[in-house]
Amino acid sequence: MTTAETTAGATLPAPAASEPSRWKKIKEGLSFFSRSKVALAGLILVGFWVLIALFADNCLITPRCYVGMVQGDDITQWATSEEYQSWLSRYSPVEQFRGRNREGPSADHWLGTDTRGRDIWARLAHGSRSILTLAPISVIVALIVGGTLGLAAGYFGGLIDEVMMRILDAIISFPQILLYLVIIAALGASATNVVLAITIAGAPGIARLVRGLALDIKTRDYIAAAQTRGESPWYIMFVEILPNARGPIIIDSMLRMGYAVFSIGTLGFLGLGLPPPSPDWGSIVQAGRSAIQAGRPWEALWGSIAIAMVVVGLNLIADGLAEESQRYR
Amino acid sequence: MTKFLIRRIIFLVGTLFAVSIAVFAISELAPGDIAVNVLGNTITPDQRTSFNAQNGLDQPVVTRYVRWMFGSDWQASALIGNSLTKVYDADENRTKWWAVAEDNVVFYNKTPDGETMYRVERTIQPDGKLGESREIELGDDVWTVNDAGDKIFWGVDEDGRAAMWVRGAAQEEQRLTKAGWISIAGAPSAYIPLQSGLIRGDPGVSFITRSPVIETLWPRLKNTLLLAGIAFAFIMPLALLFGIIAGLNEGRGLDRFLSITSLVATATPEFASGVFLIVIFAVWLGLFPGAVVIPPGTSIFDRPEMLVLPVMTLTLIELGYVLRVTRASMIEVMRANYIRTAVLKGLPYFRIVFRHALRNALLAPITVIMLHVNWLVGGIVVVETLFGFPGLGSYVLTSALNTDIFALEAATMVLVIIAVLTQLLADIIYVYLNPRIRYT
Amino acid sequence: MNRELEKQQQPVVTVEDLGIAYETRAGDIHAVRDVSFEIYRGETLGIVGESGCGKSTVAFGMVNYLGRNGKIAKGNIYFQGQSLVGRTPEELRTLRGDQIAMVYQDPMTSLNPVLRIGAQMMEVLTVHRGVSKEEARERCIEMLGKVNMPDPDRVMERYPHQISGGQQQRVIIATAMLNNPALLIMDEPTTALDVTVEAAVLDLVDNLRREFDTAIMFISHNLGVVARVCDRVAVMYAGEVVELAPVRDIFANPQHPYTQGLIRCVPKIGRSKSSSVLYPIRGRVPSPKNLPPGCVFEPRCDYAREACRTQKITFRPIEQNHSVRCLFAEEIDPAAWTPSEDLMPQTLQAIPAEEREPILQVDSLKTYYKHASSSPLSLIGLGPKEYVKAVDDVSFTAMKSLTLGVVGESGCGKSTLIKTIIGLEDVTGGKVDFMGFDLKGSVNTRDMSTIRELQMVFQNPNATMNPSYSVGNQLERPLRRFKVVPKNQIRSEVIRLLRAVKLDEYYYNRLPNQLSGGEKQRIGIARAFAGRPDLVLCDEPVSALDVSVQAAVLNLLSEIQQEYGTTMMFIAHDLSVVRFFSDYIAVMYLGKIVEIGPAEAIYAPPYHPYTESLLAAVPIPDPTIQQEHVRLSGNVPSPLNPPSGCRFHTRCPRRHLLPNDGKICETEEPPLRDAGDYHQIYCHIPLEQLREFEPVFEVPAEGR
Repeated sequence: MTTAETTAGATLPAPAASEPSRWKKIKEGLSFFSRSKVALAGLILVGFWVLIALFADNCLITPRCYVGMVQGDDITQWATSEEYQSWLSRYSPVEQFRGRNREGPSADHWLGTDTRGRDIWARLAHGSRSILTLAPISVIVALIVGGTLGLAAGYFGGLIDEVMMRILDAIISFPQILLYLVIIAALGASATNVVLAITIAGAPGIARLVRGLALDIKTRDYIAAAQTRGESPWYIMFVEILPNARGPIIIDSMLRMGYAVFSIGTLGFLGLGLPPPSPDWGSIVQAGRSAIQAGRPWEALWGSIAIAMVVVGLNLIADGLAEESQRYR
Repeated sequence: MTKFLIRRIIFLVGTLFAVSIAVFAISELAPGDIAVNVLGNTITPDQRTSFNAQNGLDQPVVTRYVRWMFGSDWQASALIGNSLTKVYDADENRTKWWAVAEDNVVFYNKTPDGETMYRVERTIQPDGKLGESREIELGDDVWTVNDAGDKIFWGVDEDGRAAMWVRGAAQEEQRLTKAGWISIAGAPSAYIPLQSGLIRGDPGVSFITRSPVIETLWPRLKNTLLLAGIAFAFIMPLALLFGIIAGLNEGRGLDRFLSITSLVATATPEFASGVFLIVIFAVWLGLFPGAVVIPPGTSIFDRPEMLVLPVMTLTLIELGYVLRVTRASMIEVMRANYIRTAVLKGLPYFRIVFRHALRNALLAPITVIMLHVNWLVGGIVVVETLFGFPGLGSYVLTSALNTDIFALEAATMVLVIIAVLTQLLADIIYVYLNPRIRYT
Repeated sequence: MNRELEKQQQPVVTVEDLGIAYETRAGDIHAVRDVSFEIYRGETLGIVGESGCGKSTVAFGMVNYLGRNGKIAKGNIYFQGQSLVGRTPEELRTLRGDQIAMVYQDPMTSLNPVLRIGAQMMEVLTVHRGVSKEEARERCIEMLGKVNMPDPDRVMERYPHQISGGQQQRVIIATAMLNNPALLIMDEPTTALDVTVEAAVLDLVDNLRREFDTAIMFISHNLGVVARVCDRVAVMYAGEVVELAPVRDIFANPQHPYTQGLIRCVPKIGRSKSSSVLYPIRGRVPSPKNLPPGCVFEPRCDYAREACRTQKITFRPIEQNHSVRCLFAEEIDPAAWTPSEDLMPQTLQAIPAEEREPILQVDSLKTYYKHASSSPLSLIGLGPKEYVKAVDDVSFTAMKSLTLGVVGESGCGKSTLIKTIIGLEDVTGGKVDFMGFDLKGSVNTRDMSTIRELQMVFQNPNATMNPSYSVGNQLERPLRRFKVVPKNQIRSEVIRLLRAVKLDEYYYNRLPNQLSGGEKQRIGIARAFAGRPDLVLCDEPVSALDVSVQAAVLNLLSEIQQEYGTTMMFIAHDLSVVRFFSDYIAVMYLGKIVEIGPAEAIYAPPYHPYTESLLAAVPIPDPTIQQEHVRLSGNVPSPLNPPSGCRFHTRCPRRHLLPNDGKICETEEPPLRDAGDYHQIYCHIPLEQLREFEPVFEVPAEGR
């Protein structure tokens, strides 16, 4: 009902203005989760692991340790050092309990122990850190790369668009897992290469989405208005177009975050993830795989549950967001 | 319509070439030396040089790409002056290249001293085996003078490679045989390793297994096609049916149940859902085997129950995705103006759904779904690894982990071709269903 | 037609106190309240009103198609004596498409894209009447013939995307008429169509009603359309019918203040802004969530009294066949109405012809778009190059401080023309001279002062502002870029601009989604004038607005123009609006100007035959004006491959005036005929003959 108003003579007084405050925005965000049960469930699943990741031990307050851990090389020294204090994790992820390998859940070891007698809970708790750090990083990198390409292709159109999209289409038509395999096989397994692989695999999809949005938004009159002011293409792309594409991009990023966790887990499972003894979730499942048939499925089972919780949680949040945004349309 | 399809085909062929270049280039980037990777770091520099020369690894990357993609036999054949062919040698239990002398007679060349050239001929017998070998001494006139003034001879060496000997410049060659490294006198100065090229179906010989990649790849591919085919046959009808049902009941309990379940199924990584299924069906209930073991001499058809859990795992993840895409499309279509028209024309509900909504609702997801075959490939790699299934997926993974370059490249190309062909198929179905493209 | 006899019959449909509500999280919203009317056989009842007044809701309520959250909350609908409320879905289904048929606003999306036309038509017969396919086919072809569809046999085999918009609407009408329904509901059936196509479809509706004696409920926002086809008219406002009367009474003797206001908003054909003023209705339509306690129109009514604020007003007859929802209808004399002071007509000072100086001279301007040819060769760059000749060889001059209007149907190139001038499209050929500068190339090759001089007002209020930024932010940007005022005065300048478009400073922090369409359009105008340009190009600035808002925006534009002495180019497809606003008018067809001249000269002979057809087609909101009946045949040809010679020759209704049935039109470009006073016509027909054309209508005398 936007097209119904008028007066000619007197100026129109504005109805009581409502300044959107920061507090109000936060409240709005929270009320979204109370409206959408699906998103709330997702938030609980993901939030659980975020809390665990934050408070597994005193590592996060020592940045040196944290950076090293993400890179997967410092963990052994750190977790055996004097400074180390385990909080929520209860044990160090590398401490081996002699004679207690492959045990089921018990009061001492809530989730049991792995092949080498390490506490599975401690390993999962620490593993959540790398996966919950690498996934957002890779999505953000992919967003920057794919978003810029997509904006440029969509806004400029023509030959730039044609060539760029053909190349990106070619990457999309390439099974992602092969991309991971070839890249990791060529460059070796490391956190950086995992991010690189996920960026290369994810950026074309983002570029496609952003291009579609840019193609739509650039036909709006306010873009023509900016052009008739003689604004530069970069101003139009990033200031006029990008902010209006944020809704779908946020939803897509949430989904991609899920894919990224999914992919990082899969790489770990295939032996292409972070090198041991990093408590990588995928690697934990891989290590426990052979014992399932022997009736000791704990290691593989807990690892699978942990990763499923995070991916499903992220997808639920994305689904809730998408549904909510549809409602407003 | 033709234009649309021609466009797609040109694009797909282009994609395949681009992919082949990319795969080759990335493999080339592999850290370390192939020789070291293959032979271990105990090799001597001499052995390494010989290995690289014999396998053409000393050539520039473009040459190697051309040989890998389009083959090297035609190039070598022109230099030698005879046509070349592959014949199975029962003595060595492998297939190698020979020059063709005349009908059913093949040969290779050797020179013990670098001066006298011999031709070793063998007859191909009617049963396909090779007959006795016959050495013929060749005259001096076989040597030709090249630009540099050297007297040279191009032939096929004993190991099935095109080789160039230079008269009087006999060298020692380090050759890896089953018995280990040996030195051979009278070795050629340059080699062209023979292969007929990927586009003629020869992806080369694996450095790791020393056997042609195609021989190990083919049975794996058959297993994988079986697994994926069965999974696909389950996924498609179920997913489309449930997707349509969910879409028609948007917002109701049934739809909520189907959407949430499918979301959970799709989001859970294959290795995780596979583990859950194994724990439930193999460990607790003991209904199906939790791993695929095929003893030599038997086929997968002897114990088809081994396929149940892998197929179930693949179905779970793909079913959810296709279901959700179909559901979303169905909802959108049911809101379209032409559905309103159909309702207000007083048509019965089933006629509206099946005649007016269905075809439109399948239009959008068909390309998305087919593009998802890429994900099925990913699922296959994980599922095959999890269940120990001897298919192409686990083959790719093993090749990648062992840096078995030719095997990795070949398997990757096969999977990409499959993915690209399904996309072409999707385009054809799309065009068939969409009169706006069919009649323009 | 013997109306008295008809009245004695039972009405086809009777609506009694109908109330329709939508369930939302915040409770029921009563979108339609207390609507009562009846429609007889062979009668067309028009339902007219601005957007959001509940017209379409009533239409879909009649067939009980209200979506999952809509419901009939009150009242009843009797169709041929039987109640439609509370019927089972199956009973409703047998009525829909058989006894009650519907025609929709957007024909393209209302047809199923994957089914052939024939299949979509035939199923109405096979489902409802159980006839055989062969018979159904024959009857469909026959019906397509009746709706004047060329080549019905082949159309049956076509898909919807293969026929034009006008033909699609004919198909939908034919489908609706197949079972000879007792009631035909038409929901804005011509809104998406061009004016010449609209005229032909309206003729068709009239003929069909006569032939089949159907009762028609005709919904439109366009008073002119309603005046042309309806017998009786119901005026809706905010979910209620406020007045119901025969069409002549509604226009000649409106009794409800809203109806009176509505009619005063619309520019009369032939009037210009120098001689008349549009009187917008103040205030805005209340949201159905927040209705006034008494009369729904009370907050905007000039005659409102205390009684209007407290009680619900009943819908009551004041004369035979004339009902109104107003307490004081008898006391209100529309002739005695005087506008409030700020709405008094300003006496615009006309610039004498000899003092007019050119500001923009366009010479043989061409704008072509490259078009991928259909040949497969074009994939590798070998195919023949094809061009869409959107603007082809156009020349004209715009005079300083005056308005040049450009009219034409969609696809005639009028938007491309101004986009080329402002630099959003590249010039393919020709010359644009603006105050001595040669405007070539796109906007980013021009220097800042030229950019500042040329600004644009856009069509769609919902797209004219960037939804992410506040009003103040968006008005500041041009001020900063063009350095109009020193940095420390930017805020006060923004507020000055806001006041200039009649908005107060509280709008500074508003986001676009908090504004109504008219407000957004005002901001768009303020933004265009921020850099104090010399030439403002208006691309259909009011066509997406409701008439009452349209009037206010037109007044605002002319006021600002007067104040700054700005030159304007004004595009519109509505000929009354263009005539009202422009001093000169150019008529475009398929990329060419066919006629250009002073506004009053365009609306009287000598005409170009195309101008004549346009004028004959324009719906005039006055049933007393008789329009000459000139209708165009065929479709607009593709600009990819325009006809040779005169581009209009394929559809020209006057070709036969030339020897040899206008053979020359097919081969030779038409010569320029100068009728004096910068009135130019491009036509092969000699000026003398053009002068002899009958005027399409008598322009009523100027004055109120």
